Amino acid sequence: MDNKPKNILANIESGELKKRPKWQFVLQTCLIALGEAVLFAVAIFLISFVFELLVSANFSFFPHVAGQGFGFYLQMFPWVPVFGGLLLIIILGFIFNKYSFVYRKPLIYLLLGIIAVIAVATFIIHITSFHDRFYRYTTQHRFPIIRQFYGQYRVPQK
Amino acid sequence: MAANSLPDEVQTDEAIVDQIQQGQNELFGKLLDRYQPKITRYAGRFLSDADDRNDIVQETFIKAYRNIESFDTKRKFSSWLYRIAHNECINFLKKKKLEKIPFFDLDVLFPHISREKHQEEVNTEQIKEMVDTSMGKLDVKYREPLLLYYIEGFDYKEISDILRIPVDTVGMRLTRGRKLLKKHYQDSLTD
Repeated sequence: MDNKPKNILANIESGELKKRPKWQFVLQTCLIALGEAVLFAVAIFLISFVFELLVSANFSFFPHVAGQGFGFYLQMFPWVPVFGGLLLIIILGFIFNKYSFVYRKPLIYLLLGIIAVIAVATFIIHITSFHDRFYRYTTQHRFPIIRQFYGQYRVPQK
Repeated sequence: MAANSLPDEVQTDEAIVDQIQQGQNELFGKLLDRYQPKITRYAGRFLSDADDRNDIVQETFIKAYRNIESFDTKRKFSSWLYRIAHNECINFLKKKKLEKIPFFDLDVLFPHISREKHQEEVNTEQIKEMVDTSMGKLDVKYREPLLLYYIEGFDYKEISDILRIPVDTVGMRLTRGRKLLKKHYQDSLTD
């Protein structure tokens, strides 16, 4: 039999091979949880923003309502936040899949769960006029990236 | 009776890990004794080269020791260790391009209702023999659940934990894997 595992024991005894301390795992878990929360928040922000845009435009992005054709629809539709939000949902699906209560069930349940949470959050954001207030806040304070993001699209009006 | 005064064979893996976490690092040798042959056998189903196999086994135990503080002793140690071995084998196969490993498989997406309902119809000994002779002809996605179930003796939930796939998908892959295995086995008999 190979003698490598004996080397492992020798390395443990000599202190060459060390255990990672517990606090590193605790810190890692906290950072991952924080990262997941941030990604979730960004996904909610993007999807709710798209919803808010569609509501503020009376859904006139859709050609049958606007009567201005498919080209106009393609041009006006907020593709970046839509794809950004969808991409984040997929990324979150892969990230959450490391938890046993998630991976033991088919992935579709997780995706539906994420979509349901985002839908509820989007509704709450809509009734609280969050985007409208946040847009005004970013124009009064220095938030260049978010202000630029809002500026690319119509300003949500409530 | 204190856990560390129990005979080796009585102490659970999790009790040993608990003691290692408390600083009795030399007890890792017990886990090596218990699992080195099993992990070597498991890695041997993916890697024919003895040096590659030994490297994988070595790396598996090094990672297990380094990360042992992250192990929750309420869970099963063997599943945790095989998860590390699985990752090492899959990463090695991907790196060396020895086998085609898909990034994502659609069979984890939707629920499957084809869980084994007629377990008694399956001749376990026959399957084990087929696994020994024809396993190499199967894709990794079918080979691994069969190996873990019939050779290593894990149940569906444990295999789900090792492969991080839904429990339903484990059942589905076992059913399909057995069918493919039988086919390959019969083909080899007629050749």
